[in-house]
Amino acid sequence: MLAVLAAGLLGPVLVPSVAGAYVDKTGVRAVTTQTAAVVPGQSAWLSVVWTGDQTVTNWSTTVSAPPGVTVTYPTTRGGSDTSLYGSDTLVGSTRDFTAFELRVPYTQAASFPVTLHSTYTSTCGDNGQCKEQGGGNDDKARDLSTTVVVTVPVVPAIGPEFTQASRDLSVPVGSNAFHQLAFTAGQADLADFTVRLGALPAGLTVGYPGDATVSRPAGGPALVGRTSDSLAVRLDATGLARGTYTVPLVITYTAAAPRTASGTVTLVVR
Amino acid sequence: MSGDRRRARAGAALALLALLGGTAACGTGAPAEAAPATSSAPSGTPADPATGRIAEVEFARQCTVASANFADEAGFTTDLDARLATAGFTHEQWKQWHDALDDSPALVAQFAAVSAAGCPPG
Repeated sequence: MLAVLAAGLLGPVLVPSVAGAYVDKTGVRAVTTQTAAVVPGQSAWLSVVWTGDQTVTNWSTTVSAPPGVTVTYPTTRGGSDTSLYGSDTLVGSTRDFTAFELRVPYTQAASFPVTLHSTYTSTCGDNGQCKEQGGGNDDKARDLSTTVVVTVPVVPAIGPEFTQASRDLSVPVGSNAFHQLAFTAGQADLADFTVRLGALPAGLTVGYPGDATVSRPAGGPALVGRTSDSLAVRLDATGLARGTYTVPLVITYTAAAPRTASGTVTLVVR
Repeated sequence: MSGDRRRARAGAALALLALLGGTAACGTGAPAEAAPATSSAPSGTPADPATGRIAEVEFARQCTVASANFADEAGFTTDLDARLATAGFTHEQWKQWHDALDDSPALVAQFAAVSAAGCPPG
């Protein structure tokens, strides 16, 4: 009884009056209901298109994704939010989009929702007319927001997990230098990507950057999906005669689970 | 919006006219043909065939961008620039057109007209 009485007394104070609440008249809304599809293990830059009836400024969007899915924002915004591609203004009756990166774990095999919370400023009057368009009826700047949920489809990956772009190396006889082996990832990211040479022909010795036991991509430990990177190997051919040799490669990486693959490179000592 | 920003946009709009006019002339071998503005607004960059072509490129992009999945952030700009190049425009011209939208009801009306039919199915 006391609680009911208290609620009755506090209610009008704590709950804004519907009659007094400002209604967003900007017409800002998402055009996109479903993003492009991703595959498990993929890092993907996706977008959601927006439109509106009135011009709004100071656009900012944050994205919430399910646990395990990592959201990254454009570097130009400092990394804590995203805005629109063209600027932070969405001009009424036009379209623009927000871009963000999702890193989808290999365990994410089903489509999932992401929630986009967008904030923006309207300088249109409370009668819905805008000063910029000659009809504004007050000088207020109103900070407004909208929240939408869009679906990110997840589809199975197709194609090889990686391809070896460099299959031949040509070195001068008596040389001892680093050479690059290029690899291209398939659709998904491959973590801890390493390459080492297997059984070597007599007279050939090999080394890796930093005196490590394997070589790693120049751009970082992962071979990022749909990108190419190179791995350096030092070939000491001072004890190797002219000729053509087939050198085995041992390639390790982590996709859904740690894996080891084999390859070969044809070494021509000229 | 500050006065400085408005002045900057006005300057950009003037540059847009010069750039787009030059592009049209280069592309067709003839001076850009003046087109009637699609709005009676007294100020802002007027709409013309060149701005209409940029609006078409932009709307076509907006129709498909959400179905694109890029490996890196730059993919959005690479895609836009390829579309612009096909239509005979540069990224800078697109940027000036985009910035001019805010102060040009004529350009907005032209974009709305271009997009009125909606995106093609699929």
